[in-house]
Amino acid sequence: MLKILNCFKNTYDPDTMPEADWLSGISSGEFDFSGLKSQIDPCSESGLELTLRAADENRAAVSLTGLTFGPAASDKTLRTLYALGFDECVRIDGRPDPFYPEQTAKVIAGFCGDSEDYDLIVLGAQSQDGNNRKTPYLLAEYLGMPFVQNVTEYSLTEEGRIRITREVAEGICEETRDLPLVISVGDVPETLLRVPALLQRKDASGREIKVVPFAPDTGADIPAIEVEKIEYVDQSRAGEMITGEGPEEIAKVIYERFIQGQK
Amino acid sequence: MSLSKESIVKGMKDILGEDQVVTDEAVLRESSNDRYRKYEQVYEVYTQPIPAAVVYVKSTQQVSEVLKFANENGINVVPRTGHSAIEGGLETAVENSVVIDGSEMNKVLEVNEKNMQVTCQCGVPLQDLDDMLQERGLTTGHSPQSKPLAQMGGLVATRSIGQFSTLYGGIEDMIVGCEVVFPNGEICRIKNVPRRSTGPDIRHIVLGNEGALCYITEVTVKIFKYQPENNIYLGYRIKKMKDGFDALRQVMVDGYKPSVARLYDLQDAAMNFDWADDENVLLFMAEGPAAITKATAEGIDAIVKSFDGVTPVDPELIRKWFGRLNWGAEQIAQEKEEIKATGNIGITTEISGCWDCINDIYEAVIERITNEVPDLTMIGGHSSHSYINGTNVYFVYYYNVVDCKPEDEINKYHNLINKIICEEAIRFGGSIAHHHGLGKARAHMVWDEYGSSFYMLDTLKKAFDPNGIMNAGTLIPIKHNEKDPWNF
Repeated sequence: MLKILNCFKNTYDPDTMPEADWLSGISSGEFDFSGLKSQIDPCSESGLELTLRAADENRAAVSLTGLTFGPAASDKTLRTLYALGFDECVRIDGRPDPFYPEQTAKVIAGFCGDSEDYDLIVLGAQSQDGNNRKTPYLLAEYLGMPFVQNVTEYSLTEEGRIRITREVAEGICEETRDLPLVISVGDVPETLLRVPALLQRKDASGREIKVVPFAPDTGADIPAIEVEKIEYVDQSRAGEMITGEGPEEIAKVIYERFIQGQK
Repeated sequence: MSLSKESIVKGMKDILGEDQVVTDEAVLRESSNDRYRKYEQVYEVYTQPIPAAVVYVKSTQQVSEVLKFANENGINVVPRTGHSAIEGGLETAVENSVVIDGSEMNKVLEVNEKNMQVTCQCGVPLQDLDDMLQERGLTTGHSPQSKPLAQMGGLVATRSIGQFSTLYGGIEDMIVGCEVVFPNGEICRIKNVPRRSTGPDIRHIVLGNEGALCYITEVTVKIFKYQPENNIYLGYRIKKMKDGFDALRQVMVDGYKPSVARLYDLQDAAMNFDWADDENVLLFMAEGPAAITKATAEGIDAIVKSFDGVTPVDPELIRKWFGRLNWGAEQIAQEKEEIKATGNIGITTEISGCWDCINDIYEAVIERITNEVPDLTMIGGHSSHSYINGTNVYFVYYYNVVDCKPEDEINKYHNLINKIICEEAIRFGGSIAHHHGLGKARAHMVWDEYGSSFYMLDTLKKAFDPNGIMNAGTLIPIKHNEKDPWNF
């Protein structure tokens, strides 16, 4: 049986923070994200859905484990994974520093070391808060496993290998690789996590979530990160209403003002 | 005598000119339905008769001429402004209908601070109006979730209500006067006075007519002082839903008027609030002058805490949540992608009932939907508009669409759920629609809803629209399957 570990992160949706709170945070240098509705980080979500799709092809041949960090509130997502058919769900009871991926990777590696070997470890490429893209690399390094990044799709072969589609600088690469392997998944289009039916939730309601203490021991001091500057990145868009006495006049205005000078 | 599509289009162009008459196929298809058929919209499947044209009117006189032409030639018309309707009210139920779009009648005509009234054309977007007023320290007080999209004509036509209704009222409390056009071209103006006793309140012929009696061209609504600096937020977890209803009732009966008073059941609370901890949630906002908001908040707090199983939460959590409530074009586009990616769709149906039956309706609906609807992923609800004599419940439900073509989804799931909700509302003496309108979605329950008073609605329809050209199928169905009314 192939063992797959799917690590995912719960974050918040920054778009749900009121604009006034962003502006206040910029001027004070501190943001308060508490109270925002949490969500599975987009890259993590893609990883989970791709895993389920790969498992759909031969569910009996794979064992799925979901793992996340966080307080008890994170159990909600883990229960969703149980309802979707995951075999084991693990919560590491604490939050690592989002700006210190070494800590995150070491703790996951420690968990893997205490468990049976996983054939495939899937992670989101980066999270909305940390945004460093390092955790998957570091995890592979600590586990001594090969690593493939930017996976957009994967499936499992009958011979226990993995077929991967991934993005590379030159375009798209399709290849078959041996296991064990660590892969990272970006925010892949149309890979939102499927939604379990109420009956599936009911059937999974008694499943136990394995809670592991968060005891980071990285063997190194966490570097102190000081915020030097916070800037508002203006992504506003502007529009102008072009009016005229009919389509010909409007087209003339558009051509003369916006296109003619481009040639 | 029915005209051909080409003759209809020519007639429209003769009245309005070429530029105001759209016959582009994509526009016509998109104009044949509204968000009632959300799943079909996502997959760009159009099952309703396609209109002959969408016409953009720019003046009351143009509306009059278009309606006269339609009336004389038996052409069904569908009045529209913001295109945010969600109960099928904008569906073109008859082949070669004409959609009359008033969104280009978008001028604010007068802000009268002395009389605390604003007058605007039907196509003024509510968000734009309120943003402009707030810059002047004023507000309409009207904030439906569709605020970023909705326009004034449609808001009056559907008897809409907003999130702050417990203080400001629904649109029926806000409207002062209006100008409307009837199918025979008659232009009528109801003047702006604070109150009058000169016969029946004829504004109520206009309010909620859903385009089935007249076309609204101009509205005057009250405005209020905008005092957000005094807002006080309150939030609680509460163990029992029935206690939540009782707490809401007591707040209203004791005379408090928070602008927001909401009760979320377990399921809806879990979807909205990470801190709900598998309990129901009560939340309030007090708004207005500082002395009033302080007294309102203190009074409500005392009432709620007198109930068992109540845990207060940090008001900051409520303030933050409130900032992200409304839906604009961006959220709708994102929702479309989510539906396509997951096959999971969420919809709402709202009803109302007096205090003595609302919990019964709620419990009966939850039980029946849980047991009778396939592929359900969530069923819950919240109360969001309370009165001295009752409240509404806004049922929220999600389901996976399984092994089902887009055009079959409406009967397999959506109508089945609506049927259950409406049946239970009627059974316990409530109303089948609180603020979304009957549309065409619930029109075939109009007889159950009205009982003997259907005579009044029917007579209004026959009097004002004898040729039946105004939004056929809305309010009163044109096709009604007695044996299986919910299959359409």
